[in-house]
Amino acid sequence: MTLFTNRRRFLQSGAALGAALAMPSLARAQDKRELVIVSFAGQLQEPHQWLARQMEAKHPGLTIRLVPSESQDVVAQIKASQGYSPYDAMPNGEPPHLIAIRDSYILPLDPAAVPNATKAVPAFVAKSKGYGIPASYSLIGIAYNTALVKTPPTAWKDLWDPQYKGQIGIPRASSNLGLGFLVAAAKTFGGSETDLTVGWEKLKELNPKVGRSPSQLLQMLEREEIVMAPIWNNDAAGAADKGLPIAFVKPAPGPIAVISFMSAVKGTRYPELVNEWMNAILSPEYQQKAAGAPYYFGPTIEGVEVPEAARAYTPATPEEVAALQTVDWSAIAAKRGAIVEEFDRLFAS
Amino acid sequence: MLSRHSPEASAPLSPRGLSVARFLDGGGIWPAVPALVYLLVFMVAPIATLLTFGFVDIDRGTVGEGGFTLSHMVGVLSDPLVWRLTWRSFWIAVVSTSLTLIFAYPVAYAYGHLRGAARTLLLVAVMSPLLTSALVRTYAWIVILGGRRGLVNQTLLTLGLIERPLDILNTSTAVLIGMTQIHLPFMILPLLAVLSERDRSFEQASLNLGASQTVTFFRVTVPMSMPAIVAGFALVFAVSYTNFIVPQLLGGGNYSTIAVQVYEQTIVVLDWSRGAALATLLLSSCFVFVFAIVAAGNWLTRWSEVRR
Repeated sequence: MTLFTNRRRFLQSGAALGAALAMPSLARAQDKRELVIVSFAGQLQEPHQWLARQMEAKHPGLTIRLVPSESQDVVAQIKASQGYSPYDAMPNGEPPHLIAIRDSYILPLDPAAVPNATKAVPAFVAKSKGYGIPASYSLIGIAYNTALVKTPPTAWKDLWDPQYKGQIGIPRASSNLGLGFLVAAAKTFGGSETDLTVGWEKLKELNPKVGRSPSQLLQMLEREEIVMAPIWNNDAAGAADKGLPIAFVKPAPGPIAVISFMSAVKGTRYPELVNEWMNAILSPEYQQKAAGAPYYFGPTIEGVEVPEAARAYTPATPEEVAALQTVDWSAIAAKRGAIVEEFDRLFAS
Repeated sequence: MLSRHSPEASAPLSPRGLSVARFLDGGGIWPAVPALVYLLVFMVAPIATLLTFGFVDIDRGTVGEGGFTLSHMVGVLSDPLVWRLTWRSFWIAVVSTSLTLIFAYPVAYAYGHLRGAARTLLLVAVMSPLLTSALVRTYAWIVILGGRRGLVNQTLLTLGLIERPLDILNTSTAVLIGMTQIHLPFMILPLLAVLSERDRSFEQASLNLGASQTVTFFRVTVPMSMPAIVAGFALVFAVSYTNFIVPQLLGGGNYSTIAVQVYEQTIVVLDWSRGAALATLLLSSCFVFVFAIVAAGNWLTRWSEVRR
């Protein structure tokens, strides 16, 4: 008997041998999974890193890659990928969250797969519109250089103190920070989300210097190019933690609270792992860690105690929570393109 | 085995056979095929896609059903903001390119008169900025120009020359300073090649005939280096006009150019059609300006030859 009776048998045997040799690597490929999650930049990424290491330990072969990025870059990449998104999950502030729902590149939440969702503050959950989970909230307040400002500001209108004219930094209106501050300016002087005219006039009146990002505004504060700027509480806390002469105030009538939602990206390869990730984000352990120094992310589940060190950055008392200002983002998100163009017409031309 | 070049194989070939033989022999475009394929895939196709996006509706990352439309291009061309920013891009490119020429010429001229180690050192000094990324050099300018703590303001304040820090960063001046320094090597290198290899006998003849050093420089040396001036001017103009990093970092958030607008529309506003229409405007106007520079250069070279 010959080993291979004919050419067909030979080819069949060869194919079987090849498949057998490939099997272990196929099995290994199934074990090796990579979850790609968009995260914050710098120090603010640490709570996500902590959670990622825990999930990796629980699932051998799983790697969680955190990509620090502005959500706007990510959205452009998701759009360009034509349904083959390179990301599995992403955090979005309220305006891009609404745009993501409209453009359907994030997935609705399956509450049964994320049991911790029942622990989240109902008012925050309602704002998610059924997509993703409310992961944290941050405040837009005022940061100032303590070496240059001897009397700290207490209210939004203090930014318009004539002695600081030309020395105030503002963010571009393309970011959540910039949109939030535009609304704060409008509301402080009698406008609203639907009537931004007075907000634009007041921004122009500041004769401001404009930063492209929160970190650029903080650098401008440090270099003493500006004395005050609207900024995120977390970014101000990070700068103060590094020893920079920067302090944060929650201006009257109240800082602006913006919720960050963590959502599964449409087309994710591992929806069950993303659900596990979102469930862990709503765990008391994660929320407590994210609320602690030096991150100070606002907790979104009941029963998380705000640590003493966070008092300067996060509301702790019921009165402070009641004073938080929210924005009707549905009126703003749809006009974002027009707002960015208006900003350039006023400040960049 | 017979070689194609052996006498035995020298029977006359038909015209088609001749061209095939030449092709296989390594003649014609054969050696350029890998480069052409590379350019086709990584340059022509992306640019064609980009230009197409400006003439169709794009909704949520996919091309809409409306087909060809001029509305985005008309929207861009009828927007006064776009024209103001195009003018700014042009103006900043012309001024920074002119400044680059003024700074580069003496360096290239000096190189031609240096010998030995000094010459090598100068060449290394000219080339070394190219070893670091333009981004790093731009950040260095932030440290130098930025605020009260920037090197410039700190020095001027310490010397008592100013009482309040000068506003340099986040202004046009900062963009001009950054662009001029960062693009300097692109102007020096073509000048250096031409000026160091020029025929000195023309200058000696001019001097022998009684012309002064100044007249000889402007009537003989400069016209001889005109091709390098034109090449450097066109190159630096193109990279300045389309530069995105320097205006973005040194101009601040309230400084925009057409290149910055392309980024804003594509990445931030996510209006890809308008972004593509702006990119088409940037690309085509840059092509026109560079063509004009080269045409002006040809005219000037002709004029200088007649005068010489």
